[in-house]
Amino acid sequence: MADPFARLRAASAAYNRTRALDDVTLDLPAGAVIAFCGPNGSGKSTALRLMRGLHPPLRGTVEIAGRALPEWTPRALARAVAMLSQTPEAPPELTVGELVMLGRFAHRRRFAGPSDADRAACQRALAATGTEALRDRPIGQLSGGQKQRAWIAMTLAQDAPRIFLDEPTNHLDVAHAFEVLELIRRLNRQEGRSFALVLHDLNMAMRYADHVVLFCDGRIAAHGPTRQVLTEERVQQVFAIRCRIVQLAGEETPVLVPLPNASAADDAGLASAAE
Amino acid sequence: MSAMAAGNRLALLGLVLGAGAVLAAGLGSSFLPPGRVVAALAGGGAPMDSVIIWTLRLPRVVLAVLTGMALALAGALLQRVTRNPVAAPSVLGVTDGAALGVVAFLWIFSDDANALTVSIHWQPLAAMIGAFGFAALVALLTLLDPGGRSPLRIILYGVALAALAKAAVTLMMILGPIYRANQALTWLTGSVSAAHWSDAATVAAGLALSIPALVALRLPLRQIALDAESAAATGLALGRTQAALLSLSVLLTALAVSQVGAVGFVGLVAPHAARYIHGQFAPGYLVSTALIGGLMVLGADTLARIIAAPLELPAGALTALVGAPIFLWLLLKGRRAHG
Repeated sequence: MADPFARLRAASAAYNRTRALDDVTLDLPAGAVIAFCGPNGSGKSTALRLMRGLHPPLRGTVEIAGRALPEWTPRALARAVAMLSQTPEAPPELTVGELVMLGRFAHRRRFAGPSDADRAACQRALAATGTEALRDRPIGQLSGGQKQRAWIAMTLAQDAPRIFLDEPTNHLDVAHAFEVLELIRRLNRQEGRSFALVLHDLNMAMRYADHVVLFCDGRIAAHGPTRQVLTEERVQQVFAIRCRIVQLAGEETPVLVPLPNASAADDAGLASAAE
Repeated sequence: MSAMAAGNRLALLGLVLGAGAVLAAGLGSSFLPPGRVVAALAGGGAPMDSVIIWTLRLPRVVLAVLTGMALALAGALLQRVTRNPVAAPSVLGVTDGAALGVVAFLWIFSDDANALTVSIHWQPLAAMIGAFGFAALVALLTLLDPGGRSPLRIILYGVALAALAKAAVTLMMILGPIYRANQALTWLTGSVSAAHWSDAATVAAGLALSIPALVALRLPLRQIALDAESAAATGLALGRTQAALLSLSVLLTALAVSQVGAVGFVGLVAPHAARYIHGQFAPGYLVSTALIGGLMVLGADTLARIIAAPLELPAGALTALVGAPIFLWLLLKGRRAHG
């Protein structure tokens, strides 16, 4: 059996004493595209950051590929798991090519220039994200979408079998968002890489995720195969909205239609009536 | 291709520095044209020229260049590790902390006859203690302040502590024996005027020792330009790297200050000039920074010797005259950029 992708055991975490994750136990199956969904502040990003060792758990343990997090050296962990955080930053004069090469840090020899393997990995990452033409462009001159794809290229260049992406479709228009998620699915199906993504768009999760972990108030409300987790009742309950899931003719993936809940709609109606 | 261009730029900077050194060695109460300077340097020329160049002028020129290099490198490291383009040893109180260390050392270890009771070779250690003490204070204040990670807060703490160190140095000068007051300018603003070969050798040895560390830290120094999470996610041991780079920066500052006093703003300006004319991610950025730093202090010291001759100005006054407006400009620019 493939090694478990990542595992949280009774893990809690906090920022400045505000509880962000509350006694969460979670096994992520290897070889899948897993979406973390849930309202803002429900603990999705914290769970990712905890699993990547970017935030220490208050209680509980974290395992990557069957080994507890403290047993990993920083470089070995980076070769095992790559992660793109929500708001990455780099000096604006750094070119796309230089940024992507920074993704090779854990592989590079300390006292030599980039190896052929480093160059090849960067080339593949640039090609996969369609950023080859931007290679010599400083990232300060890129549009939001181009920048996001450059950062994804840096993450891919790390050549890790497991990849965490915190809102990878941030700043992307619909077409580029589809492109990125298609790329993720391709890398998953063809190269067997495991993905865990924070996704806000539930329809994107419906279409591209094999598994969904639904977070609510620092706990896990549901976890499992996508269509079993994303149901009308569950989405209504977790997001406190109304929601319909409809099947369009000729489309295999059902469409989730979020609607304002009854009381919010009433309030809006009252407000406009009062004007 | 870009590596070639970078190499050419470095060679050009090296040539400018070499020419500047020859010119500076020729300037003084008796002017020697560059030809005679080169002849003396090559071991020929008139015996009198040789004495002037080798014992009087060259130690000063070499010391100016080497301390400029050390301060510039310290600034480049500090700007990367704090991810703050306005950071520099003099801005963060490290330079004045080192000067305070030296003055306290002279104060404590002088006897009634104004002679040192211990070897002068301990002076760099005193500078290091002062520099590390003030760097630690700035770091501590920044870490304890919940909003203190913002680039401007750390600068505020640094500027405040630098003022405190300067005040302490001034007080010790005034309260101490007269002869120390004569040296006050050296420790307050920095001067290369009392240069000996042994001073230059100390700085050269320190720089030579830092080269292997800089080579080993080459990739982490690039990686740390990323935000903390991205740097850690790509495999950088963040805490260890920050500690190593900070220590190296403080050591280089202390090394320079222990020999020439609190020459300010070189660590701020030289890395920016190198970014502008060389590129901070082009290979050889640190070499370029060091060459520019050397050129800056050499230029400042040479000007300080000749503009008001026979009076000598402290070189640190001139670097501050150039550096402080650039510091202000960077602050204003940063404010615009961050809205």
